[in-house]
Amino acid sequence: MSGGERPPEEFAYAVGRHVYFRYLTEEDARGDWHLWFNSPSITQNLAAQSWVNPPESQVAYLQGLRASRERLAVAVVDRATHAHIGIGSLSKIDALNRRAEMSLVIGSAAHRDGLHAMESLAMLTEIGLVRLNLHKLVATGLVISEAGLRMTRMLGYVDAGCMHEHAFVNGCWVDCVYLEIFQRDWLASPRRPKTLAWVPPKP
Amino acid sequence: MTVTLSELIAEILKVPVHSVTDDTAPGNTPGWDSLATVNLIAALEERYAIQLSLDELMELTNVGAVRALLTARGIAG
Repeated sequence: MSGGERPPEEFAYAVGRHVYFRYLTEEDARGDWHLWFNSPSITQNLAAQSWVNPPESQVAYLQGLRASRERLAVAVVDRATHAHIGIGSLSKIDALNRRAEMSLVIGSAAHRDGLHAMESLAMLTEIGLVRLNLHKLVATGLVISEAGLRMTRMLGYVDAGCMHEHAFVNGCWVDCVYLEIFQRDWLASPRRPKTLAWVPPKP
Repeated sequence: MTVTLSELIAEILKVPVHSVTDDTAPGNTPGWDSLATVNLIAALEERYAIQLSLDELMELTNVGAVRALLTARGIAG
């Protein structure tokens, strides 16, 4: 599919108060998405840091995504402006053991206010543990990504371990924290979104 | 000594308390980033012994909204 074809908000995969999720397009891959993964300010916070990332690599990645049943990735879109602001994913989806790894990147600096990220994390968790009926989600975060780690814990994820000296960032070895959440705990959590369905805006 | 909501938020945002108004928001306050939001949520929940739902958290778009939330919870900020 070429770029420019996007679903209207009411047909989005999931809708929250500040963001909605939709499928990713080639326009996204050639646009800000590939640039985010060239930005040291973003990649230094990722446990898996990347090399240079030209648009062709991002398009190839997108094509791989479409063929995969082990990875669900969505565009995170700001509801107010319909701007593509980030990427959310559930990867390593294991249908037998009912687990997956959750991750989120808010690439747009203007939307790093905490609310967009926290809602996106909650929506990804809801999709994994309720819509996909997984038993457990795991997440990882470098200790230098303080806001992301604390936000994830606020949603009910608990520390399950630490991978020491896991990433080399700005000349220093950095530990990576491993977090997990179980479906039974999420179902009782006040941090669950009430719905992922589109609700018409108030007039 | 009782710390007012404005003083609490000023401390989190590292700005003078007189600059904190109901319109103070991430979009007009350079220090209000994702870490400041996390610190604000943690401070509100600890100070007022409350647990905020996701819906409530998503409404915290400016200081006025924080004040309105506390009022709705029967808390004088």
